Amino acid sequence: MLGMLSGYFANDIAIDLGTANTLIYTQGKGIVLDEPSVVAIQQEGGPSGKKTILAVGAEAKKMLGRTPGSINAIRPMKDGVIADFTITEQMLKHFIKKVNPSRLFSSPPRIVICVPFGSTQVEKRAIRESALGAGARKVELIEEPMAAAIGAGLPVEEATGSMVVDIGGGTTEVGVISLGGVVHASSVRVGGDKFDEAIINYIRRNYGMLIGDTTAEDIKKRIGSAFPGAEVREMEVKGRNLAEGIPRSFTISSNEILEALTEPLNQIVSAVKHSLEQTPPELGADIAEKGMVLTGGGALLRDLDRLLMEETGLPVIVADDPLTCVVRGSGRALEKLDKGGVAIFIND
Amino acid sequence: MSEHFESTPAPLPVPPQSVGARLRARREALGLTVEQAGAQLKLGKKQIDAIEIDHFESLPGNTFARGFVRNYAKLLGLDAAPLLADLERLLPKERLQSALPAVKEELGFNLAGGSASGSGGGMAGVLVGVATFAAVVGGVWWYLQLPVSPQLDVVPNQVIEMPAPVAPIANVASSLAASVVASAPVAVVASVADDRLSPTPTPTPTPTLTPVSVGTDELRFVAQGETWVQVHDAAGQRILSEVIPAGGERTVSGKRPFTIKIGNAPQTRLFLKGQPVDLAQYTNVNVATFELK
Repeated sequence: MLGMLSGYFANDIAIDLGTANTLIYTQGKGIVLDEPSVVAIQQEGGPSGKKTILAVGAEAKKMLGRTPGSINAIRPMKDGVIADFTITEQMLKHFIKKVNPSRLFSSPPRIVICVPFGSTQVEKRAIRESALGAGARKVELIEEPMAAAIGAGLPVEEATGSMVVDIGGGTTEVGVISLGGVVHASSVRVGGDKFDEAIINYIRRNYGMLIGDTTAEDIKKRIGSAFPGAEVREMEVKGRNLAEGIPRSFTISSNEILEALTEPLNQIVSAVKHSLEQTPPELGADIAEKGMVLTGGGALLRDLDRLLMEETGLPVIVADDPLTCVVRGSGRALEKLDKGGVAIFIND
Repeated sequence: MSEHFESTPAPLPVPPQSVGARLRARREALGLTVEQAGAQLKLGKKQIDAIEIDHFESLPGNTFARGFVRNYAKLLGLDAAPLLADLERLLPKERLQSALPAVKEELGFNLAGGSASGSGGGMAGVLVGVATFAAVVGGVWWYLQLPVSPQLDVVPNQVIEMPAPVAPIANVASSLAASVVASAPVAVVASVADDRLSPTPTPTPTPTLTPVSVGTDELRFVAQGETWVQVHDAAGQRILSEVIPAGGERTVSGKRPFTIKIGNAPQTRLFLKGQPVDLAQYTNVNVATFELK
């Protein structure tokens, strides 16, 4: 009975405002929204004309790179932080309205939202302000490594070290967590986007072809890998030939993509190694036994766990449903809002 | 190895091989040693052994148990999905809770640690608050004639309020089971107004609680040396899984047939309803795995 009642009145939500995707979790319902962080804006009558939002989310993502002059499909988040404040606010407003249609007697929601570890004051403030602007009653911030660890089901509250590597669209967060707090964490601005960028650059350099972001992402998902495997996969790709200026198709293999991804992958590996160096020895011993857990969309890159295993010599596991770990962890943190467990939230 | 206790013919060799056994069989088929597999997975020999004997409790947690099994299956070229589905049944349920809810209690307890005596009072206050809230909400719902019946799982709260008005009138006839919960509030009323109630509730609570173990059988393990024991009942529910220290005893009850695994069978004695069971016939080296009908 109590559960049903609180389910009716509570409209608190947790948001993973990611560079690539935005996910929303509501109490009692679980994950209710998973859409790309993309907004398409239509500009009327010249540069000083009225701007209207044409589409948000999945619909807007289809427009990326395919828009005429009057429409602009943009990703308001970059490298894990807000690049365009107004549009982020509009996007959040749209998403919140979608999952939380205003009802009689309902008050504005409280929102838990996660930020990359090591965000600057300005970046945290921007996220807080845009959530408030989007209609939140109260905003709590949680650090991404913490949220990812809770979402992956790690024993965060125990006196044992747990290491989580969250590879998102814009950033990679490495965190060592013990007793409900972050002992050491680092954040590098390398993630899925940098992988895509590396693929685009590689193809331009070696094939003299220009491909778009969406195609690059598709290549990464289908034949991208982080460690040389026995099987070589191939894929036909279409792009514009730089010399001729004409669209052409060509075939690319997984080994080439592996070569293209070497540089961003090395940055992730060195971030992980650096964190291990900084970890206190007792926690290091715990991690040596349990290994590290990969979360975030980047964890789905084929054999990334293998690469980290070989580079560090530690066991590496991929969390269940890595894409939603952060938002599920933030959702679990929501439950703490009423119970006074504020230790996991951060102040700015 | 898996003979039945009674002489019914076994239709299946064993409930399709356990997760660890399948991994082990595949590893042996590929000609890999435990050390080689461990080197590939960066796991210790102990951890690989634990996986292969389905001793997932000794791994650092459910997330890791799943991850290790997934990695192991990938290394051996097995499909991880069916293994993980079977693994879910083997994982200790209590560990699922460990990710967060425990924090609240611990945090609350630690914060209140300065005044340890206050924690009991706080808990009572919470209970009273919940009961009052439930009573108010229940009244409102009844008034609005909303369907109340599906919320039966909160019955104790409703029972508290119902007898209060009824007790003075009908207490002669109503020596119903309601008195289990209501005895405290009713007693206050009764002691002032009516003393006939006081003999009635005393016999009622005791008999209601006793007849629990109907249709179940009792298993008793006596360990002479340290041993690991796992028991599943007829429904496949794990009713016991732990290491019994030397000299220890465990008694569990459930429905037959039981599926039993004993890690150190020569040092363990098993009694079914007080009757000793001969483990020697099921024992292979040290481990006994069998079904008890």
